[in-house]
Amino acid sequence: MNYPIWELDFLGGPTLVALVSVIHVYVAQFAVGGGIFLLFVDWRAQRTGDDALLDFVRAHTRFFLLLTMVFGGVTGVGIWFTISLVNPAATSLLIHEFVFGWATEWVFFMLEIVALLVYHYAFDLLKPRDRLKVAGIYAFAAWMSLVIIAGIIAFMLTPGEWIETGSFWDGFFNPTFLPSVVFRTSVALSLAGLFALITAMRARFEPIRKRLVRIGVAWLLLPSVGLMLGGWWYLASVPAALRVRALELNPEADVFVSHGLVAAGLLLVLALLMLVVPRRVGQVVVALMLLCGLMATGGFEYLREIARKPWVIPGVMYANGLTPADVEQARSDGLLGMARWDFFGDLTEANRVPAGRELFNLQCLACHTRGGVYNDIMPRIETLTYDGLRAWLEGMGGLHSYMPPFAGTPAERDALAAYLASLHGKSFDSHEWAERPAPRSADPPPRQEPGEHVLLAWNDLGMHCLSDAEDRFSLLPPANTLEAVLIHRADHPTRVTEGVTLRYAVDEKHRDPASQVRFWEHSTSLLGQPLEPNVGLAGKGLEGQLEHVDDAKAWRAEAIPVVPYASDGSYDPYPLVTIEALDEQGTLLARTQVALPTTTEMRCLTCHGGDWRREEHQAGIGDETARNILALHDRDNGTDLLEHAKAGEPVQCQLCHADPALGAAGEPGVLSLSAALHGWHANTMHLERADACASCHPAHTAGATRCYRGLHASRGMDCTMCHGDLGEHAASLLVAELDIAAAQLLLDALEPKLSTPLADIQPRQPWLNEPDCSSCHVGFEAPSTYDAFNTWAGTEELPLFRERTGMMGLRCPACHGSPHALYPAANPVEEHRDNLQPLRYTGLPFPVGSEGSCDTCHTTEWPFAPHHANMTRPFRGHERRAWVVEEDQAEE
Amino acid sequence: MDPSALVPTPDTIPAPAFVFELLGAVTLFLHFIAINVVIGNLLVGSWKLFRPRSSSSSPFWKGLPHTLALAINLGVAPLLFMQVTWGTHFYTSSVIMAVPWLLVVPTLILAYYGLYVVHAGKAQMVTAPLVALLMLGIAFVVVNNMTLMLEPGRWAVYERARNGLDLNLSMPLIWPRWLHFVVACVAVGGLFQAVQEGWRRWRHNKVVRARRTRGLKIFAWATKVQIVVGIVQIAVLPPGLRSQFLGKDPLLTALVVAGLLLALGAIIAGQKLRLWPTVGFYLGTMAVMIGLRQALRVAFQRVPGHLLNLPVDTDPGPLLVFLACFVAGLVVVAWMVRLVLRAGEGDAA
Repeated sequence: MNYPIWELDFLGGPTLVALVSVIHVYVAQFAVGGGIFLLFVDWRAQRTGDDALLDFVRAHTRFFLLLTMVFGGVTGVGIWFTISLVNPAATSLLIHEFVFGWATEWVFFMLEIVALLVYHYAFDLLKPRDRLKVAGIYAFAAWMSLVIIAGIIAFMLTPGEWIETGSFWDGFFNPTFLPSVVFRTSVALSLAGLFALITAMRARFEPIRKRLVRIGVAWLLLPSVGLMLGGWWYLASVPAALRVRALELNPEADVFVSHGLVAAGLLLVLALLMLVVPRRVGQVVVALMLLCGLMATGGFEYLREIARKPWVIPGVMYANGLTPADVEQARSDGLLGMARWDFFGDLTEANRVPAGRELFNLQCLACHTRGGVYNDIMPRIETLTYDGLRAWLEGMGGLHSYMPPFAGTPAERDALAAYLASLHGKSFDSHEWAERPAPRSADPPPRQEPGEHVLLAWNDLGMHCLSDAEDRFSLLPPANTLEAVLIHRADHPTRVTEGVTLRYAVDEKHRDPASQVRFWEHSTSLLGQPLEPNVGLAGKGLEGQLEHVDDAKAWRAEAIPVVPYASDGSYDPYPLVTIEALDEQGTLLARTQVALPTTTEMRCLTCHGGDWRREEHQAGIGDETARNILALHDRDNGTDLLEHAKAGEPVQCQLCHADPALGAAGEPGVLSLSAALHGWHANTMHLERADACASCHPAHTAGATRCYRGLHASRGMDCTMCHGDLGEHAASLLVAELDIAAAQLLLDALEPKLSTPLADIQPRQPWLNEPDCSSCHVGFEAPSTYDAFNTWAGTEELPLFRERTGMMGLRCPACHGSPHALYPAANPVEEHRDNLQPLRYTGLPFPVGSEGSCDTCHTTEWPFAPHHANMTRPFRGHERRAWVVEEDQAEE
Repeated sequence: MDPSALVPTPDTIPAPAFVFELLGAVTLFLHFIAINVVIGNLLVGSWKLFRPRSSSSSPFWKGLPHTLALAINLGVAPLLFMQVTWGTHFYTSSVIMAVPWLLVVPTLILAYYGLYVVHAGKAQMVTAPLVALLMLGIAFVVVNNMTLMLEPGRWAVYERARNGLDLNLSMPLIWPRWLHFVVACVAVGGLFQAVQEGWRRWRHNKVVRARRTRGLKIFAWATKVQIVVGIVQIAVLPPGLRSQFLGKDPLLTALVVAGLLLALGAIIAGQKLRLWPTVGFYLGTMAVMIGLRQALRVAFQRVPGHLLNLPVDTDPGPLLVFLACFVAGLVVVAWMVRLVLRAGEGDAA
């Protein structure tokens, strides 16, 4: 931002730095260890009067000089050149902080050069003891130069107390300084042994060569102890957050770590081999060992660099040269205006894409290439749409903590997303949804004359979703639970719990879901057991019987596998189910109808690309969308779900993720499905409030389902007033699963964005703890607040609305309707579809028993309300005017 | 667009600016001498190779690779200190010409290994001029960068050229500045040859004296050319700046006059074949030239007092440690050199 940016699209700055620095470190560490090696071996040769060993020292010194002074020295300058080109801001900071450290190192370089020149060219001229002194000077100077640079490199990983004090000494003597000195010194000694083998192989006389090889191998292997101790100490001195980011979160770490460790292991094995092979073979083995040494060096240095991401100096400057203060300012003032070198004017609609390119240069090019050799941005953004990219950019720095946060205003974020989308030729506008038709108009059902019995039925949740991508994965199987109460009308009505048969039959057009979705085809892979076509998880089909569940005080048919696709090709998320109650003789006692809500309208394609599986219905997760989702899941969690799917073995999410909705225990150490999904997406969501909910849940106003359709929806309340916004919603789940590491990670990323302080958030279990009516309707009165978030039902003291009863043991949904479809509900498919029961029994679409309709169940008049307080007052709200006032006026 | 808007915000410096300017000047002085010796020796030696009456012995100094090693090391220090006070300008110009700037590194490695090939006597008629050419190429890129960094007005070229390939050949100052360096190499090549012959035990020998004379003559001739090149350098400066060196600014003008006088002294002493006075005048001229170079850098800035405006937060500890190590290092180097010289004498005895 402060400096111009060198557009290294193809090669990438990191590649350049890596190439130069790995080579330099390899040779330079050899130069340090080699100096100590030469000192030791010269001393041994003098002590034992061993001329062959002295010849070796003489020969090795020449090689040493040619390699380390020329190549080693100049590549060191090369690092300096490359870092100041690739990240001048960081280089400037380091130079200004450590100039006298580097100046001191320069003094030691000077000593090294003079000492090595003297040692080599005056080898035979000097008295042997003087020569040893010179060798000692070289060894000491070389080691000191390692010590000094180790301090500065270690500072770049763990600045330690320097962040508070700004002191040179605190910066230099930082937490990983000593461990890295121990580690690097051990590596240097090891490399001395390795490179000694090159000169050793030139000895033609076998006994001598074998001896020299033994010396080289000993020097290679013995420092392994120091290496492992130093390495362990190094790792332990790095802050835990850095360790987790490097070793667990950052997907870039794997390849090079495994290459590096494998190469190091191979090096040790080959070293042992060197002890027994003949000369010709030995030369090849040495060449291989040199390659292994290079790879091992590269692996370690790469890991160190990765561990530091997103920083170039942790807590101080990000890898793109921006400081946290810059990022903060950019979020309000905009980065384009702040950047000195972008030559860009104002951000407008017309210049969004070029502005996005500029923003990419300013904050992404430091680590990513554009269609280049390293960390190429192209495959990383392939699966995401423009909206997905906007969401992704939101999550950077929080969730993807190995990247810096996006620095810029929301408009700049969108401009960058537009540019990134354009790189793959994708649209850079938000997805536009087609208008859905208005609900079919229908007459209200005719009023039913009261008989001896009243049958009330409801769906447990108000909506049930399935993914319709079962050949790739399944989020939830088709499984809709139907409940009912059969009431015997009397002065004191009673629930009928035995001696009757309650049977149900789903609408005819929805009786063959197996021909519509691929769930049954893959049920073995998904559930671990085959399921008969058109039979649900609990053994229920599309017609059958309900069983009485005493604890629930209701009849129940669990997991009816209804899907919204009808046999005539239409899409109906609210197919009707007819329930009949029959006595032992088979006489019909009562009949009712209720909608069994089911949908496949999951808008994952908004961010994850692809098309709907059924474009004409705008429903079902499409194949490309499903594959993109799995690809991202694999990348971020180290799974191989996409491979499984491609091999015809799709996975049910609940195999790993616990889920009370299916009674799935999941795998230990893995978040519940709800916590994982919400926790993840809360960190990567660019939409706010209910728009965020509707981007996944089938509540979008342009959708065919519009599942949030009941009383509260008509009052203008949105999902977030009960469930909290996405961040709060996610946090409430995550704080209940803090024993799982991922929960803490997701919360750490989420916390800065929460609208309720984290400490105030109450934990809840998904599906088992929910917001409750009583939070707002205190004493069943008119609402005293419109915020039901953070107080949970589903405890012993307060069971869930969908599970509890009033004072007379009558289940709440029986009279009030399903959650999300509380009477009066506005069904998007057909008028009155959700209010059939109250309309039939009371002539009004309001909760059964309201507006004086106690006679639905009671044969005599009751002066007070036994089920719950305040139920005899007139029904509140504008719908009443349409239904009751006009009637009152008509009566008048 | 106001060019000064492109100058990045400087970081705080850990000691007053003059400390870094002084340390940079001293180490640059040594670096220039060493590198001029290397390239000069290659140029003068190559010239001798092409002339039929060159002697059978190698015209190249045996110590060239060592000298280059020291010259590179001595180049590190001024680059380091310069980045503290002028990093804002230097990093910027480096990025603008990133590719040629970075190519200096592999070129240097090539030249360095090439010097060993020359040293080993292999195909010197090809390798020596080639190595000299590579090193002059490096010098050209360095001069280019050092000049571009002075002129924020030219930095806007970045708008069209973000790939780091721009060499800014249109800057008039780079040509005489580079030529000044090339001619200096020739001059020092000749002077060094004279000094080499001046050290020999049998320096009164006729052949040795002839070589010494030739070396001093080369030096004198090249220094005459240098004066002309120097005048051209001043002439191509922007008028406002030029006038400062030609009378408007007393310090700058004094430096120019001093440099001119010392150069004239060196020419006269050289023509009179007075070796050590020539060396003395040469060193004096070099010191003044370095001072002029530093002053030019400051004078180029539109915002006066760039160095004075740098935020300073002095931390004496690290500076003192460095100075102590530097002095100790010099003592140890001196000890080692003495060791070799004594061993050589003992050997000869």
